[in-house]
Amino acid sequence: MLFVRRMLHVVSVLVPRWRRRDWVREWNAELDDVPSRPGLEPLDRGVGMVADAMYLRSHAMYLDLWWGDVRFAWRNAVRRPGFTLLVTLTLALGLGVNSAVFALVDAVLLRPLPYRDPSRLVFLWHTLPQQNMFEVEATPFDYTAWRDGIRSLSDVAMTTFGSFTLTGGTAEPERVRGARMTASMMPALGIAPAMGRAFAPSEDLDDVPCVAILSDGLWRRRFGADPSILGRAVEIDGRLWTVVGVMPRGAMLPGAPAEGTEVWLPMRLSPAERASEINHSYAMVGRLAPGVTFAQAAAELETFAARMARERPSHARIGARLVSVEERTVRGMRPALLVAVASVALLLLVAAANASTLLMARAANRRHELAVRAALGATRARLLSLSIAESVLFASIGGLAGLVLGGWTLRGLVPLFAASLPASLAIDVDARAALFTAGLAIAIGVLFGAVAAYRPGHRIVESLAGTTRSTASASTGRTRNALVVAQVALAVVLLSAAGLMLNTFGRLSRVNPGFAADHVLTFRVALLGERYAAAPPRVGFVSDVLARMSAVPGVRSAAVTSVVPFGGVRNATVVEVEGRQEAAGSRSIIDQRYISPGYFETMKIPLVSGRMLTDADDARSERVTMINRTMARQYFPNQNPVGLRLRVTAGFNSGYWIRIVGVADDVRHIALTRDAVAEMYHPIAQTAVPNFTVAIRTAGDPAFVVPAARAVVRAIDSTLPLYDVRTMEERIADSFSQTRATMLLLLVTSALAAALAAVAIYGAIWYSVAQRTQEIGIRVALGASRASLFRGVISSALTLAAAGAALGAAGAMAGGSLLRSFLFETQTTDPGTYAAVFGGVLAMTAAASVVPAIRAMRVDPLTALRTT
Amino acid sequence: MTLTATLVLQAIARGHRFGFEIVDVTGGATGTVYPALRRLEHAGYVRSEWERLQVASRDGRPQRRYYEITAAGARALDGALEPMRALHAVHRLAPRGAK
Repeated sequence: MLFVRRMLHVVSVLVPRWRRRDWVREWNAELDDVPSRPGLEPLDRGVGMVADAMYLRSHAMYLDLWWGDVRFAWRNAVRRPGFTLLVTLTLALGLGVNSAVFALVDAVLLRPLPYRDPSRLVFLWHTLPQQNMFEVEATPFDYTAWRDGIRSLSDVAMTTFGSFTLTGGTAEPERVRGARMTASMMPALGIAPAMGRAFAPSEDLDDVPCVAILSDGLWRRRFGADPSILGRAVEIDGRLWTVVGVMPRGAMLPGAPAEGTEVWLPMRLSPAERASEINHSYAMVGRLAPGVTFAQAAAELETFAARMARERPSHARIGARLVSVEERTVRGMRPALLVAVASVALLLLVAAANASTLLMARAANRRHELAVRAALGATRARLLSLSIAESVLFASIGGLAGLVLGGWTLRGLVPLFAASLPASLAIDVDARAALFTAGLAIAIGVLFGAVAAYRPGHRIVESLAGTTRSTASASTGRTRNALVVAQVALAVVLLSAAGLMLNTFGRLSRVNPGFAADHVLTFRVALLGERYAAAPPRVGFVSDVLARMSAVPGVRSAAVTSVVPFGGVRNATVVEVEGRQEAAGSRSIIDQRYISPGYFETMKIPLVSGRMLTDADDARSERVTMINRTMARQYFPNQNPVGLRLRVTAGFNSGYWIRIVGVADDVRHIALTRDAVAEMYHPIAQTAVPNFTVAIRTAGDPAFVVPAARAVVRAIDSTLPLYDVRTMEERIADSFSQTRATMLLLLVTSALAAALAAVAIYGAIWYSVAQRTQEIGIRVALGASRASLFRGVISSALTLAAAGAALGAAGAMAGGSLLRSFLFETQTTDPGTYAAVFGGVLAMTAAASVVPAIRAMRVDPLTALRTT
Repeated sequence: MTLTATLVLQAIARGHRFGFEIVDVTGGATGTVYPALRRLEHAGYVRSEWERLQVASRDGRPQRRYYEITAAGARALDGALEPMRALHAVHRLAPRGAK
């Protein structure tokens, strides 16, 4: 045994140093063990020890060799800083944009929503199939009915979103987003305040003291993160509310607008409001009961709604459906993010192919060194390992640089998508993005290292002899050409997508919205509190603000509207046309807005027939309205609607008659891509709504009027904040911000891909001319003209580019469905776009190959032939 | 997975947790069992840890390195044993007297 113990120390020399101590310790313990099997002593133990040490040695050798390759690659990289910089920058470009887009996709699509078991949460919507509306808010009556009647849901909660005015204290009045919700909301979502308490069920009714919960952001911003905020009274919409809680950072309600939820208020409904069957203003959220599938719950809800439709006239022809909260939350962003992912992935492939071409070019210069290695016994696997060590090194450096670049890219990317991203979402190039980038860098490194090492038919002897005209160089040339074709093809896919988006953007910009959007400033005002409880003060405020605004220098006219075009909200009601019998169960749902006289002049909406609304259309005169051209066409075909009457049959105080006094031209209120719908314009003096937008037409830049507008509102009532201040042109631009963001991203990635492809073409043609110097010399000696040589080089480049462009165009058409939801009046097979891209790529190719072609023209036959 | 690796993994799964004990129960040569153990550890099928010093001191011997099977190892073992189980089933079904 003593011999074996001594042997242990001798054999341990074989074990890699970093493992040696541990290994000796383990074997010492093993040698102390007494085996039950005879014959294990002592030789057998010695054999096991040596075998173990040998195994660990051989295993470590691979690591040592790999480490040696990495060190060799590093020395090479340092020796050629220009080349290293070129390759790593190319890869950093591809990896950087990928890490930025990953951070965005991770935050929006991959991370679970901040709720307990979010996959079990659902929205409950009403549907109006006849009106083609499938996500209609439900009523308080439905909340009670669904909560008590749907067994498949363990929780049902109700919420309604809105804006609230914060006043009091030394801070300026402020308009913030918020929501009212039932006490069941937080338990249903599985969230709770970070400080204080959640709402009590008794606070669903309006006969208890007002309490409020603040968002973390509001608590920090407006109240300086006051630790004694609980129990303090804050003034919201002119009333005092006691703060009972502060939500954790990032807390949000499902379906909340992008600005987030800053004040969380209890529902506070009166018994009458709670029983309302017609007030469709409430979003419902539920949680699937344990063991219940989505399909089972959806089926139960649909059956329940069908019974309601039969039993209750208020619910006739109204259906219901379940929508997963997860699905609906990401639905808006998913198409844009998929396009973003596809575009940056293609750019990364182009960058990797480009890096491969660069490494291949360098490998051609190192042919002799590689041949010596092969002659000394290096196997193909060893040479591959060397190439991969080099490429992984480049990719790793590129990945590190890419992370920095990714951070910058993300800073530009997030504002582009800001309109669609929840404000509370934390988007950053964090540890997950770094891990993703590292994985991607290694994968790309292995891939392009393997491609660069691909040298079929490589002949050691010819390489050692320095004879370059071998099948090896021909096959390397073919691999290089294939890489160039691939890069052009990928660039063409991106360029075509960018072209289609550019086309769409151009068409959107030319759409006439039905009004003149230039030189119009808009801002919103909400008249709340006891002071504006009745109609006369509201009407007085509107008259006052318009009179004062009209007197401001630079203002041409001013008007108000309850729903501004491209404001993101709609307001509709149900009407009946006098003398017309509606089909049983059918209803005419018409968009409506309340405006001041002068609205059509301010917005420059033409009058079609009848008259405009005037100051005489007030609370004392007959109720009147103007309709738009679409409503006139749909409801009064072959008839002049002016003078006819409509009866409003939905909403509070319904059942009154209104007379049509004029027809205005159509306006695209919802989106430039959507045709006008039937609409009515009521005078605000007859229905004094408390929330409205002021529209001001200015002589010069509308931005200059903003301070004057603030001063005017403050002069009338200093407690009222101005909010949502934007020019009309900004509103329109914001309405297709996702389309614009996607287009910009595609333009940038396609331009980068095209630039990389151009460099690849230049490199490939230059290399090809260098390889063919002797052949060109012979041709010149035999009488070939310089012009024919020039044409030959250019045409070989154009052949490569044309092959790539054809493949790319086919790929773009195949993947066109990804873009379809963004395109407007543009087909994914738009021939004009493809022709432009094709022409552009060929022109770029010709430009990139001019220098190599001139080099071919200048080949001196004597010099070329002498080197043979 | 080789037969030796399967035997070693099965031994560990059955609670035989350190080197010579595994050699002992598998009946294999030490020269094959130890490399197999290293390969399994490298593949992530087993993991090892040193036993607590107090336990070793109490028993009056050096600390042992104990091996235990991982979830991936358990799956791999199951896959490796599957053909053996099938073979066993066929063997049991074979008619009497069949060679």
